[in-house]
Amino acid sequence: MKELTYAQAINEAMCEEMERDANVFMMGEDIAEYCGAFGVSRGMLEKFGKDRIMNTPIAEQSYVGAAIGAAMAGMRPIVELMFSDFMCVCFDELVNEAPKMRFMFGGKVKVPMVMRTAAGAGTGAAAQHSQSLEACLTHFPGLKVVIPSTPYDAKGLLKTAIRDDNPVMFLEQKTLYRTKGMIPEEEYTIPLGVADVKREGSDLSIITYGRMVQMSLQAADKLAEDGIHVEVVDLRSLLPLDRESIIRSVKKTHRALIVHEAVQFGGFGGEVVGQIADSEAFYYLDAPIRRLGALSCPIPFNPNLERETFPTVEKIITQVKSLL
Amino acid sequence: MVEVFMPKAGMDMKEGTLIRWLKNVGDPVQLDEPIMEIETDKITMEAEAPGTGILLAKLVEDGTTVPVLQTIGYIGKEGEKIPDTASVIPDTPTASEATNAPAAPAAPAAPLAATPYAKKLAQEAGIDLADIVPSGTAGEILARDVEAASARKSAKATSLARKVAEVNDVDLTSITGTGFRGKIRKDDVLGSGAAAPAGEPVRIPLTPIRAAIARNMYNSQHSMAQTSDSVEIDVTDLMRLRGSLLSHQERLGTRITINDLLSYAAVKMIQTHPLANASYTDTEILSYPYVNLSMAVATDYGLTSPVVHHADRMSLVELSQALRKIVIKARERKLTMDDQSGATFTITNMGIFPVDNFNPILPSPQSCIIGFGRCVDKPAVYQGEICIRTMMVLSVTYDHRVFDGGEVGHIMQTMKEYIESPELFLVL
Repeated sequence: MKELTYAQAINEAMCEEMERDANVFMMGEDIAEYCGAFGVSRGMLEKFGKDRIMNTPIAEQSYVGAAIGAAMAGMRPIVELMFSDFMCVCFDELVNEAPKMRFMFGGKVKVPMVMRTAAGAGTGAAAQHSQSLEACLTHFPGLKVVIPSTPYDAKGLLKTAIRDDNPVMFLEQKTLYRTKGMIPEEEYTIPLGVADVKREGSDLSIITYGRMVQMSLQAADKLAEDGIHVEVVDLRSLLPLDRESIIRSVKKTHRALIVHEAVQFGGFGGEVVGQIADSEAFYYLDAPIRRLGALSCPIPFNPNLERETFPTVEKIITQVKSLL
Repeated sequence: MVEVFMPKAGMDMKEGTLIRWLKNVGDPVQLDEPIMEIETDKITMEAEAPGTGILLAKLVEDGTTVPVLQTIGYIGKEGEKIPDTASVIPDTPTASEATNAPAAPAAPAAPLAATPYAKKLAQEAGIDLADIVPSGTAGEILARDVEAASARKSAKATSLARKVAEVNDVDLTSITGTGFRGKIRKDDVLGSGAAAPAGEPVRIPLTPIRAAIARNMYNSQHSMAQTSDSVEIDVTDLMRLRGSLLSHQERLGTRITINDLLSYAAVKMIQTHPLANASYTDTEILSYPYVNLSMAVATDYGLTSPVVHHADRMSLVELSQALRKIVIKARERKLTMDDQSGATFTITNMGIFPVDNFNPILPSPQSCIIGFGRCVDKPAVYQGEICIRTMMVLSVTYDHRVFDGGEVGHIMQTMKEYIESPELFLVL
């Protein structure tokens, strides 16, 4: 075992896959010499050269489009969007082209592309660089949407994403890049669509993903001091969704709170609520299903105001207690 | 039109409680069809309609106690007018009334809010949501409320224990039962310490049967000239006879008990002492030509006195079987009014307790009750020697208005002779 940061784990996953498969290459803004806005591709230019670690113009539409073309031609591109908010610039490529080609060409082509990007708030990056836009991506059949919460998960899930023959949206959590975790020396992968129960509990299920997994675990620690035993289910992948794990957990605890950093209204939590309500778990509910997401407002630049917009440990604790 | 009245279901019955009507006003009823449940001093029973027609009116509400033969309702033809003097109570609308009056629909009951899991649990446990106390912040029923209701329901308790728990605000689930298979008994509730907080007296509600026993005992003591006598009797030979009869249990088809033998002896005694099987009225003494033998039977719901009618016509085996049957019925709460009425003579047996001499209370209007104490080995003079004999004290309470001390002396003498030489009463 070794201790790596979330960013190092992602770096290691990409390096291993690029060593393993010569078709894997990387494109993005300032990813080569500058190593990307968050330093994720540190050392990769030296290791793999300019042909495989390619700086691009500030033109997401063009290089994501180029990546799709490369993928259709047999390559396995990893494209990095500096901030996930920028997916809006290349939305047509990401959702209207990448997930549809395989179907529209009757399976004659595939798009084995990974779009990596830094998502989420908490860095004072203001309204256009802090959003969590995963919910809109889950609305497009053909895409896969992955959000890792730990270095271990990030590495295992990214390796699987790179090997996947479909476009995978890999939403990294920018406030987690420097968090550390233990990683095995040996190679491993984690399948997409399998949730991970990060903490077992009996009184309530917090269903969450990404950065909110850590917050939920902290809340669970504090709640345990009051004798409240919360189960924390980390979805890890929103599409495909591990519906069975959600249902199993809710049937066990009879209460569900969905926590995500994205705006609550219209967020992915609504889908989880729907999955629960639409399943046998409904009959095991002993409280309404509750969601906790960000307020419906553009994320403020002021750090104090910013903190107020999204879920905190205290808010999670309050919601859990209100359901018991 | 016929009157529905509180039936007089026993010689001593003075009032009855209408537990509930089984019909609504406007319902058609058939002669002899059960229309109400009533409770007497001794039992709960269904009472039949005295006629065929429509139940026109109810004069008393469920739960009302009224004197026997009082009119409590009317059955007649549709539209028939009941007497103006009758004060009718309002009735819940029947289906036919509801359809006749569409202008005033009943307000729908507010649905009971319950979580899906609570509903599921309630359904599985067979508990009506209406019987569950909600604890949710919005007044909704939660799973824990169902579990609490389920625990209360599954707590096995006697009805008296439940009532005691209810009036004393004791949670039955917190009580350990000491009855059969852990059934919670009244004393378990009272002894739990939960029943009487802060030095307050424990409130034990009177069940109808308790109230009836109290009334009957009090009236008996205050309306008759009761006197008691007792004598010690050597039952060694009777015990030996019983042992011998036990060995023939299969052939006899019954397990003869000491109580059977004592009862049989008492019935035989009456042949020569008819005043022990009599009643006093203010003008005369009624001496009955038959023996309806009543036996005091303690049950978990109170004292009962089931009756074996015409015990004087029975062989020992028949009497034994009749007594066993009636005791089982009493313990299973299956006694009918017939089973408890018409007694002319009573026996009571304290033999399972360390009790020798006691003063049984004479049930009115009987003239004599005989009580049997325990059978116990004692030093006794037998055939001029002090030896160990099995002895029992026989206690008699009699109505001194019917006969005097001399007669009771003869009665006791006969009983003593019969019991000490059981072949005597067996051949009579």
